[in-house]
Order: sequence, then C-alpha cells, then structure tokens
Amino acid sequence: MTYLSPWFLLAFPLAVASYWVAPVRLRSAWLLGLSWLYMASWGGASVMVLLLITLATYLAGRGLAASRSLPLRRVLLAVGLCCCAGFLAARKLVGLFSPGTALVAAAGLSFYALQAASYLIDVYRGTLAVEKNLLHYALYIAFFPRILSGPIGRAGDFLPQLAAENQAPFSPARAVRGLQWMLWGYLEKLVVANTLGVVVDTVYAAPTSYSGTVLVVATILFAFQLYADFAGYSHLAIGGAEVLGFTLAPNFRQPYLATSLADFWRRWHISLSSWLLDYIYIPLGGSRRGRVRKYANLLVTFLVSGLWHGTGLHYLFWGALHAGYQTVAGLLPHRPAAPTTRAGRWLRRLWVVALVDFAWLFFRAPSLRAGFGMLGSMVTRQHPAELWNGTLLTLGLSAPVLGVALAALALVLGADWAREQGHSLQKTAATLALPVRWAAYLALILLIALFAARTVGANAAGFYYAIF
Amino acid sequence: MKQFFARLLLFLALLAAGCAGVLYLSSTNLLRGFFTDITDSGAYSYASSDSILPYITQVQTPDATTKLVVGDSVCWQVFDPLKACNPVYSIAGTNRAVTMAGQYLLAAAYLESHPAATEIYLVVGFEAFSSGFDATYGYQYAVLPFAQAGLLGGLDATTQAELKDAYGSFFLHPGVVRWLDRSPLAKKLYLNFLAARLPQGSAEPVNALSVRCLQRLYDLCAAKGVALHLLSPPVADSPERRQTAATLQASFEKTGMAALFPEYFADIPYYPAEEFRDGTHLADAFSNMAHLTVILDKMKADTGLLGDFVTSYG
Repeated sequence: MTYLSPWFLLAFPLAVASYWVAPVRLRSAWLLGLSWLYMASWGGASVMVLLLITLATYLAGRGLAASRSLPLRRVLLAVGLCCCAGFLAARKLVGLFSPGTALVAAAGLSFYALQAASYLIDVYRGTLAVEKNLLHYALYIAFFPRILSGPIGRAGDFLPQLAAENQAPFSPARAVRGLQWMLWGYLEKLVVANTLGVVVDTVYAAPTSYSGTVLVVATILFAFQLYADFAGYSHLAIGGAEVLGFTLAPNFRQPYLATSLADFWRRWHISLSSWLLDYIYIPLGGSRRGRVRKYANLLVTFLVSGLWHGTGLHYLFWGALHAGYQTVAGLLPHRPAAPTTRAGRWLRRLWVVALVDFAWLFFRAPSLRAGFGMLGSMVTRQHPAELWNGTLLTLGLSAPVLGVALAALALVLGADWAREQGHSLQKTAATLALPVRWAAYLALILLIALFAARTVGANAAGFYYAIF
Repeated sequence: MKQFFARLLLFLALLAAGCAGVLYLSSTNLLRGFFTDITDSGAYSYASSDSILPYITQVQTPDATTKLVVGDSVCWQVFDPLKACNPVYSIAGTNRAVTMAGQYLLAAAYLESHPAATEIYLVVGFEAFSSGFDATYGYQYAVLPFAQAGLLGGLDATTQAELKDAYGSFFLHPGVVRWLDRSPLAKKLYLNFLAARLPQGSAEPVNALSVRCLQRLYDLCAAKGVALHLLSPPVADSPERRQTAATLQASFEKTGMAALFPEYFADIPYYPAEEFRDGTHLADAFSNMAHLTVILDKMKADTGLLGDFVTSYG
C-alpha cells in the first residue's frame, strides 16, 4: 500500500482520527501498531525484517550505553551495524552476482536501515542519548508516513517529539499545513511524475528505436520526472507526519536551482546526502587529510551512494561520475568566481542541471552499455525536426495531457523559485479570501483526481525511489 | 475546533459535488473526448451496448418473421450473412458475454412481439454455459444494453438478486447505466472496481444462471407452443476442446439440462482447428459464403432442423 493506493486514502483519515482520539499516553503505541499494520500490507517478510532490525539495533544501543569497555562497545556497534548492513547487502549485493534474485524483499529497508545505523553510531559516539523506551525506538524506525521511501530520519530529531511533554494537542492549522503538503505531493507525483514518466518509459524501453533528439528530450524529462516523483513522495510523507503532529526535515530544497554541484547535493535527497556526509565521508577523513584523500573519500562516498541505489554498474558509474565532477571542479587551476549577475547565475544553474541530467542518463538507463549506446545516439543521430514535427506526440501522450503535465511542472518549478526567493506558498495561500483559496484547492484536487484516474487499471502506482 | 470540522465537512461536500460534476461532464458530447484523453480511458470508449441494442430493437419490433435465431458471436458469423435470404427468420446472434440471461431476454422479447412465432434456435458454443456476471464482460454485455432497454425486470428474482449482488442496484438503474455507457471515465473506474472484487470467470462448468435461464426459456416456449432448439455452432477440434466439452456434458447431465436438450453435445459440429482464427471464431478464409453454406447444410443434416433455412443466395 502506497500513498496512491485507494486503501491508503480510506485508511489514512481513520488512522489520523483514531490517533488524535486516543489518550495521549497510548498514542505512541497506537501509532506503532498502525505503522506495523501498514508494513504488514507489504507482506510478512517486510514485517519480520523490520522487527529484527528494530530489536537488534535497540539491544545493541542499550548495550552501547551500558558498556564502558571500548572493545565491547566496538563489538556491539559492529554487530548492530552488521545487522543493518547484512540485510541491506542481502538485498542489494545478491543482485550483482545473480541478477533478478532478491534474497530480502523488505519494503523500506534501504531507508530505515540507515536510520537504525545512524542511531547506533550516534549513541556510540556519545552524541545521542540511548533510547530506553523500546516502543519509542520502534516507532522511530517504523513511523509509517516515511518508512517506505524516507526522508531518512535522525533519532535526535524524532525521538524528542515522542516525549509526553512535547506532545501537543490536535492543531487544525498544523493539520491544514500537512494536508497542503500532501496535496502538493500528489500534484507532483500524479500530474507531473507519472505523466512525464509515460514518455520516459516509452523511450527508455526501446532506446534504439528513437533518434538522439528524442533521447535528449526523454532524458531531460526524466530529470523532472524523478524530481517530481521523489519530492512528491517526500512531501506526502512530510505532510502525513505533520497531520499526525510530527515534523520531518525537508528532503529537497529547490535542487535544480543549485549554482554548483556541491550546492546541488545540499539540496537533493538531503536526508541521504547528509547521512552519507556524516557517516561515510567525514569518518573517512573528509577534506581534512589532503587533496588526494579528499577526492578518494568523495569517490568512495558517491560509490556507496550508487550502490545504495542499486547494484547495476550503471548506478556505480553514476556515482563515479558525480565524484568525477567534483574532483575535476576541485582540480581546476582557476576556480570560476561566483556569478554576480542574474544572467550569470542562471547560466550556472543551467550548467549544473545539464551535468546532473547527463549523469541521470546512466542512472535511468537499464545498463551501462545501454547508457553509452544512448549517449552515442544523442551525438550521432540528431534530428531536430522531431521537436516540432509531431514525433514527441507519438510517445504515449496527447498534446493536452502533455500540456497539462508541463504546466503543472512549471507550477512546481515556479513554487521552487518562489521559495528560493524566500516566499512561502502556504503563507501566500493563507492571505487569499476563503472562497478563492477553496476554489484553488478544489481545482487542484480535481486535477489530481483526473490524473489519478490514469493509473486505474495500470501499474503506475509505485514511487520510483521505492525500488531502491 | 468546531469551526474547523464544520469547514472540513463543507469542503468535503463541495469536493463530492465537484467529483459528481466532473463525472457528469465526462459523459457529455462536448467534454467526453477531453476527459477520456486526460484520464487515459480510451480503451473503455467502446460501447458494448452499441453492438447489442440493435438486436434488442430488432426482436422487439413486430415483423413477418416466425422463427428466431439467437446465440453467440460464432452464431452471428454463421447465420448473419444469410439474413437477407431468410425473411422468415429473425437472426440475432450477439455475443457469448450476454450470458444465458441475455439470450433469454432476447428470446422472451421476441416471443412477446411475435405472437405467431413457431421456433426458437439458441445457437451457442458450450463455453456459453459458463458465462456469468463477471467483471470483464458481464456488466458490459449482460447489463448495459438490457438495462437501457428496460428489460432486466424480465429476469427471475434469483437472477436479479445475483445481478444486484454482483454489480449493485445503483449500477442497474437505467439512468445510471445510460450515463455510465456514455462516460469512458466512469466506465473505467467502475469496471476496474469490479475487477478488484468480482471473479474473472465462472468456476462452475455449467453455472446456475445458465441452468435457470435455459429452464425458464424452455418453460416459456412450452407455454406458448413454440419449439426451442439448442444447437452448437462450429467448434474447433482439439483434444482440449473435446475434454472441455466432456466436462461440460457431465455437468449438463448433472443439472438436468440434458433431459431438456438431449442432442446438444452429440450434435456438436467439430471442424479442423486451422479453420479458426483464435480457437473459437472462424478464420476469414473459412467464413466466406461457400463455406458457410457447407457448415449450415451439415448442421441441417446432422440435426434435422432448420429445414426451411436458405443456406445460399444461389
């Protein structure tokens, strides 16, 4: 069951209502039950793996807190991390040696395993107090709005919100804010990502059938499909959590407005980027041990990121490409100065998007070989006339549908730009007269519902990042 | 807090009204195309009722015919081309998916509008006895056209209860059915909802619906002094089909239908499988007039029926 399942639309209001109606002291337990129930909709194996990781890392955490012996603490940390990494490896690495094989089919594992690992490392480092309450710890791992695809949480942000003294009563304003985020997430996912995905899937399913021009268009669209898909999920998770009275950290911050690649990674999938920074890159030495070591660390970090996404060589190449970008940028004898003019900033943004999208080509391609094949076609088989001779309308979408999806994408990017300028759509919405605001909400919901109807009878309800 | 929930309810009411408005607009001539395109409902545009409603009108319209041929799509393939040279026969071969309930309604409507009727030929392949109110074709063929024609009331109480159970009373109402038939979006949503909750086919070899409707049709014909003949159209010969036929024959006997139609399975005309394009329908090369004449002449000879049926234009 994902956010797009009709069952979720029925179950979520019931879950919210029952959560707020429950006595304060029972709310965490109730929410944990709901979260496990949600995970059960993904099958018994998913629940089993979740419970095993939860219990193993909880006990390892308690052991770490109780022990003063460094060797023992190291053993406990290693055991806890091995538990997380073991399941992850069983899920990710087996595919490397035996494609198509899945030893562990546990929904959300890639996300909550990192949460559990970060908790253990923080407790080991002494930067986080151990959580003695198993119920609270289990909820930190299993919190259903985000368990499937993040944002990857940090115990230090989440656990204090469970403390009884911090539990606020139901707030209509907060619920509305959460629902606004969910509405925005549905718009991103259903109207933008799913629709653009039709073109991308059509082209990437048979790349040799298309000219380089069409491949370029599909790759550009994929950049926006992926963003709308994952940001959409993140907004649904953040909104869902908000309705339940929890604050989750943002996962995206206008990534395609970044003016450098380093800036891009501070804005894209922030919860994973910051996790890799804190638990891979910095422990490796970061940039503190000379330039060679710094770029080696960057390479390792991005390779881990690639591996986290999948075991195909194309994912590793994607990671290596990003490490390569940063290395080349760092080794340039004269670093380009930060642009001072508006045009200069836009040119930098376009350059960053172009580099990122070039890497997305390999991320989305079914294999490294296919990726290079597509790259070759992009260079040698250009037919610019296909941009206006109707070819683009033979890729699975009619002009009105593509038009609406692109208009919605413009809205999403426009909102990003407004946020970048310090404006808040939610605050702007609050200033509108009630009838205008409601008319806008209704129009948006009906538009989303119409695009949701496209997924009925088709397998379009999954989120891209749920495959990782 | 009270104000919040009051507003929430009002908003949900407005949203429901908006959804109803969209569904209504999706059935209008002006906006049907737009909503079909936006919601990717083009695959649901085909109106099954368009192919059945003309036959309902045909059997309801009094004319000079005294004999009726009803049946499935193979019946249509074999008999329909000879319509023009058989003025005594009303030929209304439709589709297996109308189920025996649909065949019963067509025959009953014919008998009502043709008091001088003498014979009814029900020409269906043996798989038709398994067709029921499923999610794939049942609603589209057995409900959409017959509900629009206002005929569903002619079914027995048990069948009507089964229909309501399968599809819901709301979706059997003629007005709702007409709207649904005109809106590919609504049809897409409803049929996919059905697909999730209804079985995709009958598990019984000869289902209770077929038994009931055949029995009722038999009784109706007997009451009106009309001869009812159950015949099989050409069937592709293969070990699998013969095995299926044997299973169905056993079920036919068990349900008492064999007593009413003792010759049905014995008279099944098997033809080489190569003559069929999909294992059921005759291939183009074998549905020409000359071959249809051969098929029909053989059927006449094997069954001793259809004596005055003209099998060629020659």
